[in-house]
Amino acid sequence: MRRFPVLLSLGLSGCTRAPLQDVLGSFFPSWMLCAAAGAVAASLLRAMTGMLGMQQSVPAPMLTYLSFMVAITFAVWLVFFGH
Amino acid sequence: MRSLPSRIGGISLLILSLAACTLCGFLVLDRLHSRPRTEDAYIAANIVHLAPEVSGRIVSMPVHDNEVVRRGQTLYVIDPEPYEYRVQQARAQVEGIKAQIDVQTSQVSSQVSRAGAEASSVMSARARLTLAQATQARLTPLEKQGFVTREALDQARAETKSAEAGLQTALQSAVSARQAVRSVAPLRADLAAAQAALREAERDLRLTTVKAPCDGIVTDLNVAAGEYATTGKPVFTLVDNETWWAIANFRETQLSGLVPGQRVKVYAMAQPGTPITGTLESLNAGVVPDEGMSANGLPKVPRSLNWVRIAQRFPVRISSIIPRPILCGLAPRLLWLSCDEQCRTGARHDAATRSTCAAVAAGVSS
Repeated sequence: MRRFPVLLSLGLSGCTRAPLQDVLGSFFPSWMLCAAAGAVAASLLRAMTGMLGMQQSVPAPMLTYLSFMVAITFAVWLVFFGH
Repeated sequence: MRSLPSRIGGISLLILSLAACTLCGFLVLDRLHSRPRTEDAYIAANIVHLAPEVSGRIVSMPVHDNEVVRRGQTLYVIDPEPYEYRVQQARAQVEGIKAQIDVQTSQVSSQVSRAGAEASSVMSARARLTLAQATQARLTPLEKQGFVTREALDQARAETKSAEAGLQTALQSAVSARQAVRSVAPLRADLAAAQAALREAERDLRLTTVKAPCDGIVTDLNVAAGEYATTGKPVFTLVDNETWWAIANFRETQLSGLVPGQRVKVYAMAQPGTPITGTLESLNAGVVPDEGMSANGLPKVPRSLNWVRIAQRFPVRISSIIPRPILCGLAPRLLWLSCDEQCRTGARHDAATRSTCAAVAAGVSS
């Protein structure tokens, strides 16, 4: 789990700030990568709440994790590609 | 059991997530509006189909496929021998006509002298006639008085007549001699034509060496020296390296944010790490519509139930796309990509080379 950010940074090291990203020879929109990052972040949040025993305390978990994912997606896009 | 702090934490997580989502969403929308972008773009350059202006066998081809050539560099040489002979032939023709003009000029001067001689013989005939008339006038009163024989008077009359005829003959001869003076004007016209033919032959000879009309990259070269080149038939293609531009297709909703002169960042997918800065040159005026066409003289209106309308995209031209230093390293790779793409999708006629790229228009202020 601790190695994950390292892997993530390795995965993102091939990225540029272009609106299209070359993934294994095909061009993907950069927002798709942001959405993937958001999904990873949301699953991490879910794992963290589980570890802290807060899982039952989160109201409307679907809405919470989904909005967290979208927020992270937007934020990553703004930081890396929204120039 | 759910403790109070964990409940507060859960609720605040939900509220914070929703707030962050909304805020970031607005920021993203604002950014997309202020800096329109598209993923549908390509980089293009002009091409020159290098067809020779004269036919012949190619004797030397110093360039190779994908070679970068400079303006004026020799690309290939067509066998100049027949064209050299043609120049020699045309030159000989010019010299021949010049010699004819010299001969003709001396003939004309001799004819002019002869005409002058004929003109002076008129004077002599006139003098003879005057003398004969004077003699006749002198003898006529003397014959009545009997001092001169009738025979002598007749002889004087005959001489007058003969002198008149002689004068007429001399006048006619003078006119004829004057008319017989020939002109060199037709030969001069022939000379002008022969000189034009010589110049054309020299031009053809010069054009046997085909030179690069612009800085460019040789492409589609698959013939060698020995190939017969025909007038007007391209031997290979030269990609004009001097001007590159990008065509970016923006949605109609984005066009209001695009102003000519605006700075644009273009990412060539061959080198996505180094964005190229270009200038928005112009916006396209029209594209072929999907609807509103007429067929067989009547408007063609398709039946449809489209509630969601897809925005029309318009090509936007971005100029001064690649600064020269980058171009040198980038161009071959762009070209390679474009060839690949043309094979797959079929090239558009106007676009010479294409490479996938994306464009981000900067804000109007920048």
